[in-house]
Amino acid sequence: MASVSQAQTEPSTPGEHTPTRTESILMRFGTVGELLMLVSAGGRWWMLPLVLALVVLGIGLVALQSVEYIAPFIYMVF
Amino acid sequence: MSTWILGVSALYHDAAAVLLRDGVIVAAAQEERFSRVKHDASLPVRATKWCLEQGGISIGDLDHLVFYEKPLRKFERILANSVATFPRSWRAFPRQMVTWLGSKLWVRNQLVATFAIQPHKLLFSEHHLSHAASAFLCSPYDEATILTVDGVGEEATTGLWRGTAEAPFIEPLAEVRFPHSLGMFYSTITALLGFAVNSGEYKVMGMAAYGEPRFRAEMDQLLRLEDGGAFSLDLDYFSFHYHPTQSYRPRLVDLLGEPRMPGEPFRPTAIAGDASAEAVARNQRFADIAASAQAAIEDALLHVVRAAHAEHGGDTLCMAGGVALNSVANHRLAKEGPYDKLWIQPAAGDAGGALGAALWAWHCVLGKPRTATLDRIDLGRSWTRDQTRQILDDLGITYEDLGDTSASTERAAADLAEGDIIGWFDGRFEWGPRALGHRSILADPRGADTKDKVNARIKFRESFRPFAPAITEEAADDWYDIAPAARVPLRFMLATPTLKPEREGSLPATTHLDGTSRVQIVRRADHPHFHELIGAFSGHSDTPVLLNTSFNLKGDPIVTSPIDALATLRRSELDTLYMDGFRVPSPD
Repeated sequence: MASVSQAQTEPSTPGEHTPTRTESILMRFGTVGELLMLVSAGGRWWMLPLVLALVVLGIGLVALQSVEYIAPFIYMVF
Repeated sequence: MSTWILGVSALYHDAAAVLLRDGVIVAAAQEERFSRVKHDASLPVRATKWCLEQGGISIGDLDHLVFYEKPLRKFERILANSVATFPRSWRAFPRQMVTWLGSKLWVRNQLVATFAIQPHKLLFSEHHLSHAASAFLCSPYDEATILTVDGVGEEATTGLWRGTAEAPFIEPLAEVRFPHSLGMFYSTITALLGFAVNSGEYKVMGMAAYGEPRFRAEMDQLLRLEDGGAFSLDLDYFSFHYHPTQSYRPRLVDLLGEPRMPGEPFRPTAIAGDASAEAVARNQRFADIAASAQAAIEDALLHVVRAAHAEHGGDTLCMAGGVALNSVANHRLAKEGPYDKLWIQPAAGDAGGALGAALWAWHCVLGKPRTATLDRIDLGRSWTRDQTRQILDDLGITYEDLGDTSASTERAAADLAEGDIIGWFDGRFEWGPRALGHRSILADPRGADTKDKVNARIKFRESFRPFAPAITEEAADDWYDIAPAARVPLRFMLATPTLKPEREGSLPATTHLDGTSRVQIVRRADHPHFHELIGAFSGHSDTPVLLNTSFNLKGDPIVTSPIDALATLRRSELDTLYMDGFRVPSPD
C-alpha cells in the first residue's frame, strides 16, 4: 500500500500556498494546543501528562527523521 | 461566482475525493482507481487532481477542503483506550504511537503540504457525521432517521441521527461507543474465518448461505442486545481493542472451535465434491459460524432500527457506514424493518465520508438549502472516443469501431447470447465499490457452468462466492420478490431479494444457494446504454437479466482507463471488450 510520504511527493496541481518551515512548526504547535484543549474539555485531565510526553516524543521523532543519518535507525528502534 | 468544496477521506482505508460546485456533485472517485492500489488509504492526490480537472479549476479556486473526520479525537480515544486496557495494550501502544506521532496526528500539516492549500480553508467534519451527511443530504427525502454503522470513527461505532429539511439538517440522537461495535463484531468473525479484515467481510456474507445458524446462542453471548436499541460486546472474547494484530481471544476459539486457515478450500456439505467427511464437517462448521454471525448482525440492526422507530417515528431510514454494505442485512431491514422507505448511500464505507464531509460543509456549515440528489453514480472519469481510438491505434490493437455505445449494444447482446464473457466499459466509472454497468464483466446468467467459467477464466476468486444479476426495472417484479423498501437500494445493488419460485433454476449463475441474489435494478434514466444492452439480450434470450461482476482481476481495483481495460483483457480469458463503441476481441 502506498504510504502517506509517497503521496506527499506528488503534489496534485500547482497550488496556491507552500507552507514555510516556520508555518509548519506553528501548525504543529496549533495541533498540540487543540489536542490539550480537547483532552481537558472532555474531562480527561489525567491524560494531560501522557499526552504532553507523547507529543514531545512525537515532535522529537519527526525532527530526528529529518536528520539524514539518524532517520534509518528510527524504525529500527521501534 | 461558484462555491467549490472538496471532500477528502484518507489515512485509514479507501481514500477518496469528491468535488461539489454550489452543492452539486461534479466529480467523485476513490484514490485506488487512479493509483491502482486496492483500498489505497494514502491522501487522494491523484483523485483530487482529476476532480479539479473535471471541474476546470485549480486548488486556489477551492473555497474549502474538508477532511472527513477529526484525527485529534481519534487519537484521544486511542490514548484513553490504551490506558484503560493496560497492560494488555503494551504491544499495540508503541506501534500506534509511531504511526500517530509520525504522521497521522499532523493531518493539518499533511493536507496543507500535499495539496498546497491555504490553512484557513481547511475544515474537519466528524467520522459518523460525514457518514450521516452522505446518507441523508443527497437522498431524495426531506426528512429521515439516519443510521450510521461501522467499525469505529472517532469514538462512535453506531450513530442515530435526525435529518431535517431545514437547518441544522442533521441532529444527533444517540450513539454507541467503541469498543462496542457491530462492525468490529463482524470483522472479528471475518478474521476467525480466515479472511482479511476490512476487505473480506462480504466473503463471510457469501459463505453464510451455505450454513445454518446453529451457533446463534453463542453469538448472543458475544453480542448482547440491550434496552432502547443499544447493544454491547462481551469483551472477554475480543482483543481488537488492545492487540495490534489479533482480533479475538482464545476464549472465542473455545466457544466456536478452531479458526479457518486463510486460503483453505471451502467445502461444506452443499459443495463437498471429493472432500473427506472430516473436511466437510469442518467446513460446514465454518459455514454455520458465518450464518450465525450474519443472523446476529441482522437481528442487531433490526433491534436498533425498531427502537429508533418506536422513539422517533417517521417512515424513512437513510444509512451509511461499512455495515450498510451488508446487502443481505439490508434486505431484511427492508422486509422486516419498521420503515417504508430505505436509502443507502452507494459508497457507504469510508470512501463515502468524502462525499458526506463536502455535503456537511455546504449545508451545515454554509447553511445552504438542500439541492443534490444522488440518482446516478457515474461520477468518475471518462475518456472521449477520440482518446480511446488513439490509445488503440498507438498500441496497434485490432478493433472494430461500431460507432457509439448505443450501436454496440445489439452486437454485444448477440455475443452474450452465444455464451461469450465480455468486458463492458461505458462512459464515466462508478462511485462506490460496485460495478453497475460502467466498468463491468458481463455474461449470460442462464448457463449452469457460467459461474465456474467466469471464476476460473477471469476472476480467479473463491468459487463459493455468488455473482450478481442486473435486470431492467420493467422486468424486476416478474423475476424477484422485492420488498417495497428495497426498491431504491437495489438500484445500487445493495439488497438481496429472492428469485420467484416459478423462475427457480433459470438463472443458476446469479442465484445463491438460498435462492437470493444481489440484484441491480437498471433504470433507463440512470443508465440508458446498459438498460438497452439488457433489453437487447432479452430479445435473444427472453431473459432481461445479465450476470454483472466488477471489471477487474482478483486483487486489482476495478479498471479505470482504457489501458487498464485492455490490460485486463490480455491477462484474463475474456472473449471480447466493448469500450465506448469499440469492439476489441481477445488477443488469443
